[in-house]
Amino acid sequence: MSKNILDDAVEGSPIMRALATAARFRRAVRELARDEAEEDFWTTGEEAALAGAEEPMRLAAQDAVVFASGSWRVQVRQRGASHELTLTEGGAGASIRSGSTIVQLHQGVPVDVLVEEGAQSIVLLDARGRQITLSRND
Amino acid sequence: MSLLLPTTEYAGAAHPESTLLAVSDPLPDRVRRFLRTLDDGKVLLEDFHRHVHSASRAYPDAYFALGRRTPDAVVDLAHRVFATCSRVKKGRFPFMGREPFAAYVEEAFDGRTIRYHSFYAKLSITREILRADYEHNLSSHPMLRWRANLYRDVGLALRRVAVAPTAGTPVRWSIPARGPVSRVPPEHLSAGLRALRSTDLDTLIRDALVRAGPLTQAQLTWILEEVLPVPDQEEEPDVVPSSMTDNIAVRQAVLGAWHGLDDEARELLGMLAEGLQYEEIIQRDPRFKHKVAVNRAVARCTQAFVAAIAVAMGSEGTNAEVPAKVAEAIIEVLIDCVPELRARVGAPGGGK
Repeated sequence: MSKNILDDAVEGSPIMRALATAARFRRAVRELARDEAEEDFWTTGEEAALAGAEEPMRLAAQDAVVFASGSWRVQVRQRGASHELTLTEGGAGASIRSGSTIVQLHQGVPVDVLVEEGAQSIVLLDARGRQITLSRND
Repeated sequence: MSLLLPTTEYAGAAHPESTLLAVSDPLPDRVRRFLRTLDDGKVLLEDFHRHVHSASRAYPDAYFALGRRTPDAVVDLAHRVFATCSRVKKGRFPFMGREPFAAYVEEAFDGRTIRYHSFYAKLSITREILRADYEHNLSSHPMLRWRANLYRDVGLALRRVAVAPTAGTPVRWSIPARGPVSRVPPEHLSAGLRALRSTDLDTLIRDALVRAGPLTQAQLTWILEEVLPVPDQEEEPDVVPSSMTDNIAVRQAVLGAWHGLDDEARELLGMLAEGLQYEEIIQRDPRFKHKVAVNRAVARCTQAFVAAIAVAMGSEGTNAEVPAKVAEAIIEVLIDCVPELRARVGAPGGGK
């Protein structure tokens, strides 16, 4: 193999020669494992059929907007013309004002609410009626 | 010998993806109950054993813990897949920063989709762990180290003698044929290559590509592994502490050496730690086309790492020959401790 400036420079430095060789070996290990994975060396026809069966999906996590503050967290998803809000973290007894109605919140249970488009914050009421402002997490 | 595991809930269907699943697939409920109350853990783990066994059955020994595909190794793999699904947050699609079980429940995935992402997809949790074990074995087993070195040498030879398309993965290298050629299937190439009685990679690769048509670097490596003489096993260095990468003193010495470098030396060492060849280095940073810059950076790195190597080997600090395993440990620690290097290289089997 023809030499280059770097080869000449590390010729006089066993440390650097060893480090460069070790790193290139490490890269070869990584790339060999990656190539065998990408080429499906070890899958059979059945796995290949399963692998080809995935349909493109849009995740609920990609649709939801999250509002949070401290130990409180809600997810809001659009459902047609309205919004679905789910309390994912927070204390019992919380509620939210939706128009002229107070809607009780239970952790993990989605409720229909009115949320202003592009809202940057949401106000909850805790069990004692204190307001808690949750900010949007993008 | 295959392990036959019970498939009672599939009512006699031998294939895990029976159409009976369309009627009732218990997997999503089992995951949900396990996540909420830890109920059904034993049954869920049995599901995992069965599918991990199925997904991993074609893999060779090199992909399993300790380099052997034994029943215990498959069980160990299933346990690690289960533990990862329940406890490790994954950044990639479809997990999006969540533990896989949590993602499955929040997204209301059906059983087929859960099995796909846990066991059967190219990027499934199971295949990710298999690949991480393979990388570990490639680095530690002498015969597998030879395979990794051969792969690297094949790559260098391909760049000398063949051409690759500008797009598409995996990359298939070729040599333009002169006139019509009768192609040989890759699996039948070895005998013809052995008949050449050559160990020159350029010669063997040219012949392989002309006779078989476009091949990938990994395919050529596997073919040439059957053709080339197996080298004698490497001798272990006299003193290589097994836990060098976990040694606090070594880690501190390596990090201290790194932080003691100026920008130029750090940039060169960073690219060397990625495993880049000189042509790739000067493409990224044209400073290193100049001999003065290269010599200066190499000298500074040498000076900085003399002490770190001495700590690792428990010896005096001199610019002397370094055993391969010590150098690999130093690189491992460097990548582990320096976030920007880790981001460039990527952690194997990690939460990307």
